[in-house]
Amino acid sequence: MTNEAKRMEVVRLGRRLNGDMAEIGEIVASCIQCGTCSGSCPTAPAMDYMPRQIMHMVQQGMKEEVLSCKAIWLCATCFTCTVRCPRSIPVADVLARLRGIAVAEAYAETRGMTFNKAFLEIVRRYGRMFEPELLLRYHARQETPRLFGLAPLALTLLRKGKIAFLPERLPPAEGGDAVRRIFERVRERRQAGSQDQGTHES
Amino acid sequence: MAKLRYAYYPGCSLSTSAREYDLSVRAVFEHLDVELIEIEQWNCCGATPAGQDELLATALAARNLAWAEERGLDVVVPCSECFKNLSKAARALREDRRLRHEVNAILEGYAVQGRLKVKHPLEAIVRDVGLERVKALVTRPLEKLRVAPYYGCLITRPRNDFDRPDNPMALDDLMAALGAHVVDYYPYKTRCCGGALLLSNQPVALNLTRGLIMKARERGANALALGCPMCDMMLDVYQPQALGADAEPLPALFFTQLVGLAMGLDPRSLGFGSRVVSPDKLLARLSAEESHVRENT
Repeated sequence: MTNEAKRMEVVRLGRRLNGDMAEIGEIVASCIQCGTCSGSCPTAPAMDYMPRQIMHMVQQGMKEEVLSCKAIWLCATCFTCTVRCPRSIPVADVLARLRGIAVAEAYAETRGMTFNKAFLEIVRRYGRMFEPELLLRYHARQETPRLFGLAPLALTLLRKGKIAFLPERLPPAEGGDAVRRIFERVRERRQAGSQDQGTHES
Repeated sequence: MAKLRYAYYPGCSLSTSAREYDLSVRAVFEHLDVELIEIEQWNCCGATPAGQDELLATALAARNLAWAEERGLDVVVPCSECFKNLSKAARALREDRRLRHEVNAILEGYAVQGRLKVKHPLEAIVRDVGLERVKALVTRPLEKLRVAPYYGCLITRPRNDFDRPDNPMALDDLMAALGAHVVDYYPYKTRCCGGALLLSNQPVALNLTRGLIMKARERGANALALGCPMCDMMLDVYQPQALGADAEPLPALFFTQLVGLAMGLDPRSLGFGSRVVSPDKLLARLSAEESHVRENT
């Protein structure tokens, strides 16, 4: 199907989608609801909606329901659905982008969302991952922080030399600033994009 | 043949939780006479979280690719999460002109094309160095090893250029070349360990990991070979939690540690001491075999 045909399909189904959601709508427009993704998904048993249902909900323009469901945060990004989809829909990437929209539009925070935010904030600040801070940031936002429960694990990792005490920070002049600018510019572009969307709609 | 040279992108885990992967990759490549040149001031690829924003994920990866591309080098990436992100970004930059322009605008002053090849060390060893050369360098065949070759998700998915996603064989073949007995680990060899959900949905992740270890045992394995720091976090570091107290532990080792061992490198230089599930008994059996052979000759 051409992009234009997909776009018409989106219109025909009476979507109430806009911006990034409309783009995702086009990507999943060719889904035939065969269920191969659900049957292949290792975490499907823990999901509230199966991947096939998510595809259908996007087709039906059920934005709120899709973006507030648990299932998108239970995807382990193993890509089994993606390689098996007979319509070549990149199902795992679709779920990842739905997570991105849920974050951008401030849907209720899930643990997966807390994790993603903490992770990206550390990459933005240091240019590289720093696991102890990731654990602190993640657990600080949980209702019942389980930091003490982590102690035995931390000791094991310490004993095996698998924990760093200080972040491996990229020097500002040699990459640190460049990484921060990447984050800034991507954000600027997103904002510019959503403004365009706004003017377009009004 | 000209000496093989690659840019090297270790990624964040290889200096902390998976340091023995870094040690053993470097040791093995040096022994194979392949040069690895670490990308200067490389940055994190953004792992799974950056995947929620294609532009961010591609730009973070592209800054690293640019360094290698400028020098005309292909890049070796041992972490399979980083491998997936860098190869996905290279392909996207190559094929999507609009995205390429946008990423280059974000990176300021770069003109990344995405024309370089991104390789997992498994590909570099099996396809570029070749199994014949590997076999020629094996001095301590791993005959007592009954190994389950575990590829995990991202070495073969969503796509790579060297092996099939449903039943890859490169790691099977490599382990066989080391003299190990390779157990048939299909279809579990590419089944997810749940690593990405370790913090946010731990019971789900531990359950997947437990299944993988039980299946490897059922197939008669006495070790697992793996090539991903997150799989390692699950299958080694979290194995005690995943299995519970009763089950017998199953050593899970980086495949490069096994390559180094078979080539006679000093186990200390390969970081065996950093494993949480101790491989000592297994290693003792391997060397018992060796001294036994020596006594008989």
